[in-house]
Amino acid sequence: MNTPIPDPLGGPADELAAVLALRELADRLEDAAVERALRAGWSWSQVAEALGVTRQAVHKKHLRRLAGTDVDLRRRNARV
Amino acid sequence: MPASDKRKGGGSHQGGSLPEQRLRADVRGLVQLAVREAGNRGAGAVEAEHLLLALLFDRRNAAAAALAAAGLDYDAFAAALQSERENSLRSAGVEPIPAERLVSTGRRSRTSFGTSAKQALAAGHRMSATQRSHSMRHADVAAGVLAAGLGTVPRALAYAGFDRSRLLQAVVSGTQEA
Repeated sequence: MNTPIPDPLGGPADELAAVLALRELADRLEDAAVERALRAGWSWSQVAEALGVTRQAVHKKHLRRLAGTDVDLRRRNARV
Repeated sequence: MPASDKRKGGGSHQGGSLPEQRLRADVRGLVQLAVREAGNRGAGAVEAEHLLLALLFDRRNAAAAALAAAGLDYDAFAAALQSERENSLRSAGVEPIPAERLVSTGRRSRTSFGTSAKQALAAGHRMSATQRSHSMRHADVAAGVLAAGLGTVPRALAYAGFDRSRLLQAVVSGTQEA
């Protein structure tokens, strides 16, 4: 017996879509906010502390995409 | 890796390569265009909506022509997608954030394919199995995307007032000889 397909709009569909939209928004907001903070002179450690994660975690997630940009390398690599 | 990345069954964060050997050369081009669509939109993975955007962007294919005749072109679908995301956020009490606050340098990691894109291509592949050539055409990809009843694409189409099953019918009937 096939399960009927629920309406894609309203009720649980809206709640589940909100989860997806919020995840996507959080990811994009993190990318933009981390980049802005580094451009403003924040160190990786400070960004990590503000996000509540380790410096290594921020590095792993964002270093590669920001390598080769005009983000200040000295500040970027500073530990404090 | 966050717990959300480990969830079983995959999701937009669980990447993976596609079985490209199944794809005809022009459909491979479509997939490459979808990768660019996803990248340009800051998406972490290629999803079904990026496949449909790519298909509509390249208007030369018969499926895009059939969908355009039914009122769905690239701009209309892009607007529908934006509306869907804004409505979804609002349903959680969150106002959309201005695009300029979300500008960032794109990620350079290898492009991953989300579950919705994989499922759309798998559905398209099943449909192509009924063709004489047994190779997936643009129309099969479109039909694969439009076959999904839940998720971002059907929501976007519904918000924009499109009847998904009619679009599916338009693709199938409008590309029989393509």
